[in-house]
Amino acid sequence: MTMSWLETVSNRAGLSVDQAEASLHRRGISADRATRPTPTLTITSVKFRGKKQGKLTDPIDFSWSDLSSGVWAVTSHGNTGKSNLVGKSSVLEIILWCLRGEPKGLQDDVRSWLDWVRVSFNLDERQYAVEFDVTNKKPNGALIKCRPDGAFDEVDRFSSDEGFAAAMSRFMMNTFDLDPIPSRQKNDEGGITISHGWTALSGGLYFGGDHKVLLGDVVMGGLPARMLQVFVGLPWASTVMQAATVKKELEQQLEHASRITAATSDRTSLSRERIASDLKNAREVLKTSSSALVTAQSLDRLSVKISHLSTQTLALEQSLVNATIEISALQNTADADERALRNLRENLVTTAFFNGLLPSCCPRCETAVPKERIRREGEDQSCSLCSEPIMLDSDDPSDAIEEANDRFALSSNALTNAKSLLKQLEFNHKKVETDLKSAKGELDAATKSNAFQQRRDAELVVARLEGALQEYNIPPVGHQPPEDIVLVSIAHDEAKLAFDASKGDLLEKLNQEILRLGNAFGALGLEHIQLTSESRMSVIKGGQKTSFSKLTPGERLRLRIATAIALLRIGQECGVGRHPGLLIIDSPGAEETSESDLASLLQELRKVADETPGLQILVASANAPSVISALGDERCRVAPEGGYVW
Amino acid sequence: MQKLWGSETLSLLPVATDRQSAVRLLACIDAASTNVTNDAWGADVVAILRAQSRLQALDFWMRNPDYLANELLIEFESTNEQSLLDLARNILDSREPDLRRLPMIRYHFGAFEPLDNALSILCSAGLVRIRRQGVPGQVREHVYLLTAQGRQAMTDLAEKAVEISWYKERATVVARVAGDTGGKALKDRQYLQAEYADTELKHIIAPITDRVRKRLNEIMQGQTA
Repeated sequence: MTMSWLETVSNRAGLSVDQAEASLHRRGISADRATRPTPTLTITSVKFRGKKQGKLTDPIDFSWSDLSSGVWAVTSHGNTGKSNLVGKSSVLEIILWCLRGEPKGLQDDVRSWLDWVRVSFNLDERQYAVEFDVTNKKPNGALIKCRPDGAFDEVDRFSSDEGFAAAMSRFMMNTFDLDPIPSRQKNDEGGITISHGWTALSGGLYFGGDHKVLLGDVVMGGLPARMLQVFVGLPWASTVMQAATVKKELEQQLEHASRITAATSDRTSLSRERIASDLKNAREVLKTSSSALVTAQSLDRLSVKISHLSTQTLALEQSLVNATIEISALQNTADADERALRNLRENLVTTAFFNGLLPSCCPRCETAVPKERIRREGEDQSCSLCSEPIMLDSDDPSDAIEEANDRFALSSNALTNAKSLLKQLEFNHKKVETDLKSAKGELDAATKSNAFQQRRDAELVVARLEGALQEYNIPPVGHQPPEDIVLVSIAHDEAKLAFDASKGDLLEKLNQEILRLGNAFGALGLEHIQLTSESRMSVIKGGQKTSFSKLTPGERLRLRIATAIALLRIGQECGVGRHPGLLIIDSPGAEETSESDLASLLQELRKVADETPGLQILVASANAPSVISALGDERCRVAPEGGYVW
Repeated sequence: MQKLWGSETLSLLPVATDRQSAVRLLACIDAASTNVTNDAWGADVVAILRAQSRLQALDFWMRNPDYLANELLIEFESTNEQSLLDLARNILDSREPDLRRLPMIRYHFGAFEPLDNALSILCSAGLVRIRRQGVPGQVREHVYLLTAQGRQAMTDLAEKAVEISWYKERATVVARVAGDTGGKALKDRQYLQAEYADTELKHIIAPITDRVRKRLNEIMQGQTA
């Protein structure tokens, strides 16, 4: 492979190297670093002062110095059953407190008794010390680097539990080139990524309790496997870890988002179906109401028409009344003219007739008219009956008749005209009335059928539903998969490839070394050890395959120590290990069935320590005789019979 | 066509001249009188008409064509004689009720108008003679005598103009309608018409043209149906 990991990853992801590096950096994923040699940690002295409280009030002034690599022990004569709880573990716990920056299992009362603590240690040849006062259990002091001339440089200061822990974590992680161990807690979208720092990694130095776990004392988060990878310094282990954690985080987020999106999508799909169906119905309604063809325009037209026709009708009715009155007047006039003409003719005839008759007698007394009167009437134009002068008409009666005739002709003609006008008016009136009635009927029907309003409503409904459907056709936003999930996935895959390619050899060597050391420490009968990169250990013993957790506590202790030492030895051998080379073993004798077992374990440890440069093992045990016999007086700090270590 | 017939319009009402009235009365007497076969009333008397009331009743129908038409319809309904119906229809269609009406005032004893002036014209010319029966001051009955000259005058007048011949022909119809009935009975008949009876005293007798026209139409519809 000629391309680097970053080049391969960016190439596969279709990104430039810069882009890929920036994205991966944002996610906290980095390429495997060239392994840097790490120093070995050796405790050189432990000192503390204080004052006991309670039943005893002795002052405390403990000092255990001139320590070096190899096996060292704090012990007591505890077989009588009264020599326990004499401060052996407290010595180890105080060392742990100083290395970790926070107490691990230090008893609260012991901590409250302390006034001052100093633990000196070497990192290879460099000398360091943690020194602090204790006030009300709170540390206040510094991490210092000691010069050969006795002067010192302050590396960091602290005046609280948190400050102390932060200072030591910073210093140790850097010193041992350790990466924080990220891991996901809780496998769901609410999970958080937490980093296990020095406090967790330092579990790899401590061997106490019931030895449930091969490495360290934290079971959760796959931590033992990660610790194994970190301490053994497997190439690409960190990168795989980082990428795997980010990948898991992204996958969980994506899964969560997908669930939400799917749920939303289901609801959206249902809604869209419902709206589409509603829209179809609404369009049907609109179609049928359209066929009525009733529009606002047509309503307006009808209203105007009705108004117009009403006006016409009123005007015509008025005209009819006027014409009728006129006809009535003309009829009277014509009748009067006709009567006048007739009277004129009748009177003309009767006057001529009666005047032509000679009066024969007095109409009163019927006396005959004397002949003398008749003669006089002819002579002086006086009436033969009453002697009044007889007026002869000088006018030509035909003139009067002609005039009366003309008058009658005029008036009767006017009447005829008026009658024909009335007839026309009546015809028009009837027509307009019919039109008005039909227009009113039309308008009434249009209004009653409510077709116009229905059409308007249908139009509105269709428009609203179309809008709603449009809304649902826009793909839902959000819940997009993170754009760098592909990149992270590729980074993980590539790192895993590199990791798998290099781990096989190392793990095999590790297995061999653990098997050798385990058997040497007294876990007899182990035939085969298989440690995986996940820190699972399977064991073949007496021809039977079993697992670490099913072994006896004593066997588990031996395999733990064997594993830690194997990590150190293989690391040193291959130049990759990061284990500090310090093992703190509390009460290994508790698991022993006989004193000789403990003695032989310690002897073997001593032998291994001699073979392994920089390995320092600190042991606390209540079995002083075994410890002393195995290690020698000069390497033991022994509490007197019935007394305290400090 | 509604018309006001109140007294205030009286002066505007059609009025006949005395000579026209003379001709109208002559026609009535000529048509409705009974022929005289002897010389009991005088050698030149050819016919006799009894009673002023009868003459006035005849004149009422002459002057009110709508009432006459009504009588014709009544008679048609009993006799079913088509000529009566045709005549009634002619009277109405030619608008005689409007053109020929000569309104009369109602008095206690019926339609009445002094006929003296018109009768004087007839008397002085020797066409008609009037005899009063009963003791003087207590006249029981007027008797109208038609002379041969009077009968001839009616014929002559009718030949002079169609307007005058109308009087002669109409009087024949009126005489037929009246028949032998006396004046009192004729007035009772005329009173049967509601408008006449309901007319207040000294008011113009209202026309019944519309009612008669309606009646005619009903009869004619009944015929065509």
